[in-house]
Order: sequence, then C-alpha cells, then structure tokens
Amino acid sequence: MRKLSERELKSVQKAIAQREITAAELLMEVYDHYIIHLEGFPEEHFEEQLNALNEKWTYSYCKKLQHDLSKNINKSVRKTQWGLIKSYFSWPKMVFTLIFIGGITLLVNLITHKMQLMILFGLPIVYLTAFLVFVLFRTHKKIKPIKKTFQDTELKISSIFSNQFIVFISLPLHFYNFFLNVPRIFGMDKLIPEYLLNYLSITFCFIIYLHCISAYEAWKIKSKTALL
Amino acid sequence: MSNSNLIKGSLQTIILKLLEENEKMYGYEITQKVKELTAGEIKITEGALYPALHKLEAEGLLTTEIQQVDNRVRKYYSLTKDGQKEVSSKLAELQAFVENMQRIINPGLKPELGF
Repeated sequence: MRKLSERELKSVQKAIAQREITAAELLMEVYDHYIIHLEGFPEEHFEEQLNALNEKWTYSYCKKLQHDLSKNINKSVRKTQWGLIKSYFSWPKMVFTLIFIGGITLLVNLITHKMQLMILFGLPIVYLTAFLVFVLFRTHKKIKPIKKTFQDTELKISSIFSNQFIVFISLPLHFYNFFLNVPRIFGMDKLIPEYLLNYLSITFCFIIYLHCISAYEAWKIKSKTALL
Repeated sequence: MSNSNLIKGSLQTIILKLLEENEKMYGYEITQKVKELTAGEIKITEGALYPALHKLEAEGLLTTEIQQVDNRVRKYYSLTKDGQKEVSSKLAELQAFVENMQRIINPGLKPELGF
C-alpha cells in the first residue's frame, strides 16, 4: 500500500466532485473507497484505476445512492422518534405522561388564553429554536473535516441526517402556524367556544412537549454515530 | 459466471455474517473480504453493497462509527443487538434455501450443510 500524492488526491477530489454528491455521509464513504482502492496500485496505474472507479461510480448511480440514503435516513429518524413516543404510553413512563396531562389540564383551567399561549406554546417553541441552533452548530463542527477536504470544489456539502432532523424539530413551528394562526386569519377563532379551546390547548401542548422530549432523546441516540 | 443475481438475494446475510465475525468493517473492506474468502469467485459490486449497508443501518440492524484515518474520515459498520439476533435467523433461512436447491439439483443427494 502506498500513499497518494497531493496531485493524485486532488484528482480524486475533482472526480468525486463531478458526481455532485452533496451528502457528507456519502461523500466521506465514496472518498475513502476511492483512496483505499487507488492506494493498492502503483503510480503508473493511477489514471487507469481512477477511470475504472469513475465508470462504477457514475453520476446517475451516485444521485440514486444519495436519494436512497436520504430516504433511509428519514425512515431511521422517524422510526427512532416514533419508538420513543410509543414508550411514553407504556409502563413506567405512562405514569409521567398521565401526571403531565393532569398538570397541563389544571394549568389550562387556571390561566387566561394569552398566558396559555405564552407558557404552553411559547416555551417549547423557544426551546426548539435553541435546540435547532445547537444541532446546526454541532453538524457544522462534525462535517468541517469533510468540507475542508473538498474546499477546492464548488460542492455545497451538508449532512442528510442533520437536514432530516431539522425538519422534524421544526415541525411544531408549522403546526403552531397552521392550527393557531390560520383560524385567526379567517376570523374562525371566535367561533370556537372557550371550553373547546382549552381542550385543544391541552392536546396541542401535550403533542408539542412530547415532540420536544422525544426529539431530544432521538438526537441523543443518533448523534453518537451520525453527523448530527 | 454471472452470479450477481444469485448474490443479490443473499447480500444482506453475507454482510451480517461478516460483521458478526469481524466486529466492525468499512465498505471497501467488505468487498475485499468476500473476494478473499471466495478466491475471487464472488465479487460484490459497490452498486449493490452500499445501498444494502444503508438499508440495514436504517432498519436498525447496523450501527456506524466514524474514525479519522490519514486526513480523511472512515465509516465503520458494526452489528446492533437487533442485528446480532438477525444473523442466526438469516443464516438459517439461507441454509434452508441452499438445502432445498440441492434437493432440486441433485434429487438423490441428502445435503448436510453447516454454516
């Protein structure tokens, strides 16, 4: 096994960049695959072997691989979070869930609608926004070495894991807009009676808090191995 | 011999078995190990290997670990607890299939295969 020269490494980076792989998870794997393979051949066979690799890792194959990887990661994040959510409805976490629902039911009946919005929805939204910034910072730190390797190319490298996770984290923000702001725009908020509004508040609040806790737990599990 | 179609159905079992024996491996290492064990008779293509690895990871049977190697990062795959449980059932499935194939090809032969 020999070490590739700087010129050879640049050729490999250029060849991979032409495949337009932007997912850091895949990029590092393909790059490593190219390097180990090429290190097994003498210098005079470099171009020939690089071409052979390029024929295997075609543009369309890389695009498909990236698309499938994105789908698999999405599935994996959903599976992890759903598993965690389900665990809140099984013993012994069920006790916590029931106490929590009881607590917010009591709170909703004691405070005004404005306070409900601030405490029950405002706090988780602030938490999720801060969590989002934290995840973005961690991802940036983790993919830095990969970005550095391909700094001479024009690739916009990102982590699919992080992208998918951010979509999940920001879900309640869309949810909040859809259920609370859209009815206001159409003047429908006045049509909902106060008692029903309280029940809706409890339900939405419970879902958002469950999402906050499970998103953090999912991140704790996935961040051990993923670029997250 | 073009054996890619035959390998396709057993690729996940091959990966799981190799990872059971080797604790952790990276993609290229898996292709080389298979080549070495079968004296070059079976060649796993990149086109089949990486999608299979990513699928097994998404199913929770494999986990990954990133390590810095010579100014680049390498992704190692290893079995999860679920993956360890899955190995024996996948091997039993493959063994039963091979035995049945033997019965079809050589009806007089009683195969005694072991993995």
